[in-house]
Amino acid sequence: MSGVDAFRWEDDDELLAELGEAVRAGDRVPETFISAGKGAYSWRTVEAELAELTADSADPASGELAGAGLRSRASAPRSLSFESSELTIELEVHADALRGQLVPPQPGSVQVRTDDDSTHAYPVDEVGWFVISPRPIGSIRLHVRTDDGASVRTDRFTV
Amino acid sequence: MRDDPAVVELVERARRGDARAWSAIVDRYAALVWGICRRYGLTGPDADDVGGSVWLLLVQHLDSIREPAALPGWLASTTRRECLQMLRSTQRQVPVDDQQIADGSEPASDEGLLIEERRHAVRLAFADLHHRCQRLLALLFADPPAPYAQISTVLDMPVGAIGPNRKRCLERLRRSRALAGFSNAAAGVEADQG
Repeated sequence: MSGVDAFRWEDDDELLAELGEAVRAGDRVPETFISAGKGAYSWRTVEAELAELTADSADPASGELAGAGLRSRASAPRSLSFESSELTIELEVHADALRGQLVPPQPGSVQVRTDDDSTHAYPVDEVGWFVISPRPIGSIRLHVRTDDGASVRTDRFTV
Repeated sequence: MRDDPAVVELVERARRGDARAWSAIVDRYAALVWGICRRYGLTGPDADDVGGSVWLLLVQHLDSIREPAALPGWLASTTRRECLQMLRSTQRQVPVDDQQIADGSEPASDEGLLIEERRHAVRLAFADLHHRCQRLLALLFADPPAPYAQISTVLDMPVGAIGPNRKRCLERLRRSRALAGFSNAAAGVEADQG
C-alpha cells in the first residue's frame, strides 16, 4: 500500500515542512469554532422531556391528503402543536421553511434530526421564534433547549 | 487512520458525563474539522454551522462508537458530508465528483481528507515531543526559518549540534505513537536511523 499521496515520511526536509504546515493550520482555528464545539456537550447531559403531538391541521395518518388540496384550508400552512409540561412548540410547515414558536416565549435553540441522521441546530430568538431553513423533508424529530435549561423533544413526525 | 489510545479514554470519560474529557476531544479534533471545512471553501458562519452539526452528531453517537480509535476517520467523513450538505443547501456549485469547488479552493477529494487526517496526527505527535525538541523544530519550521546562529543563542545550543538534534527530533516525531501507524504504512518504509 502506498501513502495517501507522494508524501515521504523518511525525508527530514519534507517532514519538517509538513510539520510547519500542520502546526500553523492548527493555530488558525478560530476560538469561537472551538468553544461552540465544547458547548455541544450540553445536548447530552440534559434528560429531554417528550412533547406530545396534540394538534395537527393535517391528520398525521393522511398528511399527503392535505398536501393534495383535498381540504378546504389547503392554502393555509399545516400547523402542529407539541405539548410538554414546561412548554409548547407550535410549528408551521411552509414551502421554504418550518417556522415555529415556543410558548411561553423564550430564547434557546432547536435541533432538527432528519431521517438520514443528520443534525442541525437553529437559534430560537428572544420571543421564542425560530426558522428551520432550508425546509427539511421527510421524517424528523425536534429537540428544543431553552436558555433556562428546559429540554424538550418530539417523536418522529413527517413534513 | 487510527488514533492513539489516549482518545479511547477520553471517549469513555465523556460517555460517563465528564465535560472536561469532551472539551479535550474538541481541542484535539477542532483543527481537523476546521481544516476540512477550509478545503470545501467554508469559513466564518458556514464553517461554524458545519462544526456545530458535526459535534452534535458526535455527542449523540458517543455511546455507539465501538472503536474510539477510529474517531478521526469518522469525524473526517462526517465533516465532509456536512460540508457538502451546506454547499447544496446554499445552492453553491457542487460538482458530482466533488473535484473542484466553485470558489477555486483546493479540491476536497478523499486525498484532501487524508491529508487533513495526517496533519492532525502530525500535530498530536508534535504535542507529545519533549519541550526542547518542540522549541528547536518550531524555530526550524518557522517561515522564514530562524538562522542557526539565532537558534544557537535562543536555545543555548552549539551551532554544530543543531543539525544532529534536528535529525534526532524529527526521528522521534516519526516514531511517536501518533504517527507510528501512519509512517509505517505510508510507502512501506521503515526509516531506521539513530
